[in-house]
Amino acid sequence: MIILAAVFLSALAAHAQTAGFVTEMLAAYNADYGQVSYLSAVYQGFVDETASYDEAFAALKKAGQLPAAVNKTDTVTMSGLSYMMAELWPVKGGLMFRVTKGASRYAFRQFKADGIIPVDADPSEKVSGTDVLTMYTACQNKYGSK
Amino acid sequence: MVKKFAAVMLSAVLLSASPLTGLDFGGKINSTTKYQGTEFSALKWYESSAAHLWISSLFNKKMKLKFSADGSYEFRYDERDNSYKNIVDLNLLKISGTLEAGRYNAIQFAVGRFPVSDMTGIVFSQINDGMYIKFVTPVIEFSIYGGSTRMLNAHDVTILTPEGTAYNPDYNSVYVTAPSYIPFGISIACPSLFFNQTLAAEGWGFIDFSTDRYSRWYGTIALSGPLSGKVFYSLMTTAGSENLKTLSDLSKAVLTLYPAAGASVCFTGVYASGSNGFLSSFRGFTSQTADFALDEPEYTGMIKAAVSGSYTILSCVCLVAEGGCVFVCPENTVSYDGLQWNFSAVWNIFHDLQVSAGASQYYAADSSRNKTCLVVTGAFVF
Repeated sequence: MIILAAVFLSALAAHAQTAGFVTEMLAAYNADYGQVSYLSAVYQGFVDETASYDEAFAALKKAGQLPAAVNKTDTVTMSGLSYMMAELWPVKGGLMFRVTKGASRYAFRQFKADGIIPVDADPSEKVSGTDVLTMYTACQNKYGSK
Repeated sequence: MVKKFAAVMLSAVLLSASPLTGLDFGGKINSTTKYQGTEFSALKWYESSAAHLWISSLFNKKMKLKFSADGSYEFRYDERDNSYKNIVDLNLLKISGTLEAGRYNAIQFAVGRFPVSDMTGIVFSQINDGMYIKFVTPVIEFSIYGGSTRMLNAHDVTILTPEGTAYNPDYNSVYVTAPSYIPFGISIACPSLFFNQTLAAEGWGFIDFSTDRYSRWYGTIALSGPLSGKVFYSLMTTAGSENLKTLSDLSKAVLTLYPAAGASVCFTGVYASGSNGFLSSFRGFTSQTADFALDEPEYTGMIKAAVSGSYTILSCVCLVAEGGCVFVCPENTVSYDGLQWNFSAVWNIFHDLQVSAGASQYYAADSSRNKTCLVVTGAFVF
């Protein structure tokens, strides 16, 4: 856990993510779309690190980077997280991923095929804050250097 | 532990009847086109095209309690006898799970229709209806399986029956129920017994529930493991019996090397007894083609030595080549039967789109059994 947080913090150092956010994320039994929106929006420069979850969520919604019909306080599912993470990295993807422009179900399957998430993961599975940071780190290792 | 397992099984049944907690689904379309015959100038067309739909639902992540199902429709055409077949099948319908007891012990179970295979992959390898329980500890693994073949589709599962069998179905139907047998098996394995070597023993029985009276029994002992970091082996021998009145043998040796990243070389030797001395002709339970000859012989009264190699290039193209020599020994003499080779290339264009092309030939001592086969396949999952 400590190593994961350290890796994550060092990876985001250039984007000045706050340690407070990481601590809160690690403690989250169920991560919500507001938290993941903050991570994504700050990483992409849509908002600065002082922004609220509301502002980050609104920024991602405007950019069309949120799964359909989700609210800020909804618990993130594995397929929803896959969709949002696929927006952060240059994922080439399979045929259906490309045809559907990275739809949730195909982002989820792409991440399974690429070894980002376990092969026995379920798309409707609720994810914890640790799961979010683990997927972020795995994506960075897989796609970050491309 | 028994009470806990019973509770989980009851939960599984109840959950399977309740609204699914989370549903994943998908499909696959695949096609196989072959041109095959005794001579290159007289190849006959074979076509198989299928569509699969599957669903799965994870009820409990901690126990990996999962429901999964797969159904398919397949069209087959064979120019050799100008036959068409439309086949509907349920390839998977199971509830599976794992009960962990401590860090290293677990009970794995599955109920329903799912693939089952014996250690050799030659005696019994098919989908089957039944129940499987495996107890896993660091020093020993023990599993039992029991089921029935009656509701299987004989288009997709070929159970070997005796000559003059009473089983004579109408293969024009989309679903043809298979011969009625009760397969059950017990397996004990000691992984990492010494120097990471695994010693395993397995027993299978197939009780005939038809009027054929053709029950079969098999016992296998196997030793496998690494010889070094890049060299692995497996040795196994199976004693078989029909109605506990005969004794036959199937022995198999495999040596696999991984000389470089993405490359493997495999040497295989197989002996299936004929009427050799005190041994009778070996016969498996399900059909397995032993070589590339035109008549697609089973593993019986034959010796095969083969070498195969595979190499993956550009991370997405896998090349496979194989060559082998086959001898037959139906009686007490051994004679040369033929040489065979195969080459195929599989291109994973994307993780959900794959095409392959291949060619194989069998040069038999009896030229009427020669076979040349060209094959192209494609698969798309969605």
